[in-house]
Amino acid sequence: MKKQPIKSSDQLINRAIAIAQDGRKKKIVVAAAQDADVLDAVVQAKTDKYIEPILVGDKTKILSIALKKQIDISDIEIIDKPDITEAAHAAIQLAADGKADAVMKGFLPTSSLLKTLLDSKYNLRGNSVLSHCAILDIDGYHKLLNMTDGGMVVLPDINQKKQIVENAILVSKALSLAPIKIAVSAPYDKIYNKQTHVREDVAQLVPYVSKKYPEVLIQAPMPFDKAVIKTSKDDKGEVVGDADIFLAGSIEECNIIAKTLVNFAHAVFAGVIIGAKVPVSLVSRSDTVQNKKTSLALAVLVADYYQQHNIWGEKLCQ
Amino acid sequence: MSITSFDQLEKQILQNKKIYKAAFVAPSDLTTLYAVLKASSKNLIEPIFIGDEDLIHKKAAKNKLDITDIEILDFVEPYKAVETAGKLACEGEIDLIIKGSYHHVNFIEKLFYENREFCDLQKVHHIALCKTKEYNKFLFLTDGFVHCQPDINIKSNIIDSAVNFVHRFGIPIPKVALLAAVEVVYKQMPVTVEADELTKMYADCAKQYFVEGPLSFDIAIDKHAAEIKGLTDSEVAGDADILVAPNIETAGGVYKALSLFSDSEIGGVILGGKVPVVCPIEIDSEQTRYNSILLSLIAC
Repeated sequence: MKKQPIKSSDQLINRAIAIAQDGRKKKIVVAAAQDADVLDAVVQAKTDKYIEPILVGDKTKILSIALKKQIDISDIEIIDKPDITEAAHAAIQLAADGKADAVMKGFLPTSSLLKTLLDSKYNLRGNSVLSHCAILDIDGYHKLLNMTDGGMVVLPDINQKKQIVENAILVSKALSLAPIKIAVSAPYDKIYNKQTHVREDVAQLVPYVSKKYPEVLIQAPMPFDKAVIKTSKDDKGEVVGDADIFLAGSIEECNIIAKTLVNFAHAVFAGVIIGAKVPVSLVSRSDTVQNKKTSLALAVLVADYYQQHNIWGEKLCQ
Repeated sequence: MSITSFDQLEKQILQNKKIYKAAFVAPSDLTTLYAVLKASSKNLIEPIFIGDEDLIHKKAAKNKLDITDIEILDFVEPYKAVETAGKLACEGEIDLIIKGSYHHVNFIEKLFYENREFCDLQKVHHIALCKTKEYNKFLFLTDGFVHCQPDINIKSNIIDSAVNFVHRFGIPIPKVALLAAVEVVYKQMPVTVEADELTKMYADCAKQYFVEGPLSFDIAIDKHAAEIKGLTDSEVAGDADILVAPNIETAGGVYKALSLFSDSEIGGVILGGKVPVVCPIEIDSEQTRYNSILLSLIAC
């Protein structure tokens, strides 16, 4: 049976619950779990029965935070690793051994978690580029918008853009979207000779993606407004006003527009790092409960998609 | 007292009792036309239409608009209409320019890039003004519509011009946030390095205005987020008046995101030429275009 496309954050969480009910509940390992917001998020998702958390970190601190914040972690497995580097390695080892389906960042720098993740001994590197996808549920937009990359690659060149797009397509497939519509950002909707990257996008990125992914519609150049709204019948192209993925030109562009939507348009925000053989979930303290839960559900969908479709060539999780 | 809404801005301009001469270039854009006629009916502007006279009359007749009193300079080619508006501005004949139905890029190139007499391109920038429900004051945003990749000198000009503009709103000590993806300086992230350099350049200006960066968007406008990140002694974090974006896509995208998806009043104007220029984009409502005219008048 063809799966319904996920169009909202509520549907995303419901899909994660359905996956668990189908007997494929995902184990999420938290690296350096001594963080109140992260504990809160995983316990909420566990209560809603769509993840099984494993906590790796400073057990004493984890227990005292849980006690202080009245978070019930009594039936959650804790692996005591007070040192954050050791915690990162232990958490990634679980993923490498197929004992965890996704990794969640706790109280440690993102860079040290990712460095461990990419350590060749774990064989968890998937694509050559790790990128961040921000899935936004915007009131007033009829579908989810995947904004990328606002968290990893600073100023992607044309080859990195190809990889970022491929990573984003994986997420869209995990959301059961078909066709997948991609808008490639530019200041204006026409090619403008002062901007070489726009010409590169049109000449190289668009044909590369179209050829490799027949189910994907990609359009460049597209300013943000054209990606999400069709204002006139002169606007040509199937992506106009209907983008699933918005590929930004820089980390700043993506990050700042997404934060504008979260802060001033109350968009629900779920983030995930894609490119490794397991998805990596990050939540921040300023995230709402809804955002944190949606981020975890997103990691569940991505992990399930990888496993069901054998994306990385081997079954990771038994 | 500072101006904190577009209503107050309108009142303030009406008090001046001055009628500004506005060149409306290629005036067949109906939404902008309505905004122009509204400003005209309130005696804020005296419009001069520069464009295809036949087309204008047809549009007016079709939409039952009375434009009999309005002076029209007949130019069928839009680029000639833009040139004429630029020339009139240089001769001191008009106080502002409003763009009608002419492609944004062509208009900007013709007026700002090719006309040295009209402006020093290095000093030109767009500034938007947003009043959202969530933020307790006006938020100024620059530059989403002129410079594709402004260098540090242009950014410095933009800061000076923006601060000068914001003073007109009675904001005594404007707070300028230099936006980035993060609030820490990393040499791998050129935007953060540049923001740090600008912050140092402006360190001596403190007490007249504050310039700080790099700041992420949430930290610039959300006190709580600023506290979480430990930026408690910052003058700007959580309380910014002016957001300076690193590039055109960012500021333009923020402007468009706010226009389309937030509950906010918005407007924008291009500063730095002989006269202020209103350059609406497709998604701007009639009210936004009217707000933009108000902004150009306070800049006159």
